[in-house]
Amino acid sequence: MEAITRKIRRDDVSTAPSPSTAVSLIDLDDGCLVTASQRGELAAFDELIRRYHSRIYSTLYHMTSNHEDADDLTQESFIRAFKALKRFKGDASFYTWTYRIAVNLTINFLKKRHRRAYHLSLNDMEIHAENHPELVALISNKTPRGEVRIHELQQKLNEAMLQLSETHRLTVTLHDIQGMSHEEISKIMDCNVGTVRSRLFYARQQLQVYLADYLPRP
Amino acid sequence: MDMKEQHAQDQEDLRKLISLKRHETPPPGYGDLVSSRIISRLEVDRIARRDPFLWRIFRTLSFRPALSVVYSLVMIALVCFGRDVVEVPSVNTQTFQAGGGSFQIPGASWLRSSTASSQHSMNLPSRVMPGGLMGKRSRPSIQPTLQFTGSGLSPLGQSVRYPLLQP
Repeated sequence: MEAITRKIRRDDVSTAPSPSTAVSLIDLDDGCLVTASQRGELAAFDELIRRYHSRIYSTLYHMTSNHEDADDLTQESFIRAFKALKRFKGDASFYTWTYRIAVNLTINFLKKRHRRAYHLSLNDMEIHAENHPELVALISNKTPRGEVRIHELQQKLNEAMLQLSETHRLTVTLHDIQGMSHEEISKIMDCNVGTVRSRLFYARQQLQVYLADYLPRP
Repeated sequence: MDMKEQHAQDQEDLRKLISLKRHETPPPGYGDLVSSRIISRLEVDRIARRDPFLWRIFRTLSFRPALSVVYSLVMIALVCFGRDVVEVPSVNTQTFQAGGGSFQIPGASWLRSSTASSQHSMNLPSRVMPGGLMGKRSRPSIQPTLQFTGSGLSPLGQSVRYPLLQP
């Protein structure tokens, strides 16, 4: 550990990582990178950002349904995490800890945004998404609107998500979209597993009502 | 299909529908820019922290005109409020008659009002300037004093001597 941190100190004189440094940083685990970041080494923190920004951005995007807001919140979350890094004790993983910062920031943001007009700014669907077997099965003549196009479905899905409260939306996002376990979600949301399950159940019931026209008939 | 199976099927269909959102991807190249943007912001912040405190305030106010207006209004309000609270006594000159002459005490206008209910007498040495304290005929060799008796200025009812400053 000491040898590794010494290596980082030697290599990371400048804040911009050189190619040789980047190779050595990739091999380090989160703990070493956090220790180096706590000393103010931005190259180590840069590596942590590269590891986790896409997952955090993704969650924030599904929470806000707006690319620009999600982008701003992702940046702000990492900046706050860096400033608060000296207080990080290592009780939870860096990922969970940063996730909590991002989630709290986003919930506060959404509460403020709720009072003013906002618009959806949706990301494009992957090119091959329409050929995905599950989606092909879903967008079929079994649904009342069999002719529904994938972009319309995306629009309705995001609108339905925005109907949920922030905590319910977050639970659905983390579980059904991000694929996290109940235990992981309970750590991020700082509540017990039973609460996560009940929130998930309630949120799905609401979504079923909002999306009834887009679900297969019984 | 009983109710339980139907419910499970509905949940599964909904889960598939929600999973559509997994295919929403950010614009191409977005992922490469995020970390560099964040690091740039952190570097700017680090440089800004090295600046002197006053320069940071000045820069903050320059970039936010609304904030500077608000601060100015707050400062003006504080000055006005402070002026009202800390009332400076007026410096009206009070003229007293004593020993066949008169003398003036600048800022002694409070004397009349605060001792309105009390008896006060002023004993001045007879040598002290018939022409008043500010007179030109002689300079007092003895320090003149004002002596008050009564409850207004002397709470204990004792005589109190207040030396007058010599000109």
